[in-house]
Amino acid sequence: MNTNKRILDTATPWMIESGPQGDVVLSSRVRLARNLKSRPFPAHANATEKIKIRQEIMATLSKDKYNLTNLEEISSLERELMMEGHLISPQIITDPTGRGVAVSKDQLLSIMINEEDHLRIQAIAPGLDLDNALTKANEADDSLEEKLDIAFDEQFGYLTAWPTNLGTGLRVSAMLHLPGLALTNNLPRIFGAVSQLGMVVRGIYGEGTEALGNLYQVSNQRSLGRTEDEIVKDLDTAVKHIIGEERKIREALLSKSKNSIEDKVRRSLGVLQEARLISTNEALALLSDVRLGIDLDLIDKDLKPTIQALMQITRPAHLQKFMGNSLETEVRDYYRATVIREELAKEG
Amino acid sequence: MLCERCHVNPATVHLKKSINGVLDEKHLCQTCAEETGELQILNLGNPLGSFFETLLGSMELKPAMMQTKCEVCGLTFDDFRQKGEFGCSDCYVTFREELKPILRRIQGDVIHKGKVPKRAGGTLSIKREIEKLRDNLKELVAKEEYEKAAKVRDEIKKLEAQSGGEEQ
Ligand SMILES: [Zn+2]
Repeated sequence: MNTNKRILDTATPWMIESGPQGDVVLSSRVRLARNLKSRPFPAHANATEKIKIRQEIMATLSKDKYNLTNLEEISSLERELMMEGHLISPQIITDPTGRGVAVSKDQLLSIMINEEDHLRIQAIAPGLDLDNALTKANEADDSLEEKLDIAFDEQFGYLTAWPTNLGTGLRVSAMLHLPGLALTNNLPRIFGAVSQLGMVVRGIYGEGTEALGNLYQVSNQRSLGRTEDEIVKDLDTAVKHIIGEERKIREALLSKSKNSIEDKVRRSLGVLQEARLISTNEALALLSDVRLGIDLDLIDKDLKPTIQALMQITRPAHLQKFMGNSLETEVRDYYRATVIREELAKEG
Repeated sequence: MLCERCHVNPATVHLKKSINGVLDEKHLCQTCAEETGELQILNLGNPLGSFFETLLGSMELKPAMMQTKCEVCGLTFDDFRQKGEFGCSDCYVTFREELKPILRRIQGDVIHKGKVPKRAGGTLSIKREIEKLRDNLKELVAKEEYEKAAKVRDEIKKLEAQSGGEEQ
């Protein structure tokens, strides 16, 4: 098979980079919900209205800055790829008509059009860097507001389709890798404490999905009654608390049971290097182990970008795109194993 | 106030119904409200359902309000209760008062304190600035720094003129 092209090149750039607190935090994300004044929200608009609204919004976006896509004009595989790259949400891919997405050239900023709200501005930063992401989202928001009539109320703030997003329209989140807390069954305790602080914990694909590969997204629940900076600061504090707990457990694992933890992560690396069939779920679980091994200095650090890329690329749509054809599950599991094996061999 | 049906528990459900133009009021406890079926109309399976249920104890129900329509998109408050989402931005203006107890429950607040957009924000930025200066003024007066206080007062007057003098 054709593995001359590096699989690393097909991964979303920010997913390979390691940012601040990169041993625990993969990425930070900020989302602002905005709507056009006195126009039906997407769930209440017919296809014609949605297309018209999309046109109005896209007309204000520069093609030098963004790649603009009408979602009904691309294949369902392309849409799934965008979902796996966190550029669009799972809900949007089943009903693409009149919906769209604008993605900045560096893929750190995206604007979803006609998801639940007319506009969802999303900024991503590698590692824990919420302030940076908020600044970027605010800049995009300001330039959109210059040209579009945004629905805003002096009392309620930014008006959104769901009252759960009302006010700031802000959802801040951090994607965390928590193998230590998971391994020692400490997640319920930690998440219980975090929810007391008004935060929500979800699996990697957002709402209604199970967590794969020990990846968890922590985000704020309330959007009204506090400033954006306060919301960001609260989440930052909660995330730093979780980071502290995860690191404590990792250190304890290392000092009390180094042999068994090293055995576990090296066995996982061994399986990835030798297996002939791997499902998405198994791959993500094994990659999580290897990532932990790297962060504990038990496995060579040079492997990290490859592991980060594989965490994304071994998902179904990315794999299919990389292989260039449509695949049956078992064939896909074979190719997944092959891609992983060959990529790891290149680093060895 | 005690429940008018059992006369034992405190009345937590206050119902106002308009039947053929005659206003009928009922004050019941949770149990009696459930037994008489008064609460059934509100038992809805939407994502905010649990919020609504816990709200019942404190909420006054006005059937007439349930049929009020948003003039822009046609959504009724009853539609909102079923789905939990609004039809357009004007729904918030139409259902402003009804929404407040719900917002208190799900958001813990009813007043936006965050970002104000340049164009759509109107005079809100100026009003917030005036509030800040008034607090400042109070402090200066308390500290007997009258010269500084006079300056702040002038600034407030200037801003009030800018915001159209509609300050309460
Ligand atoms: Zn409406």
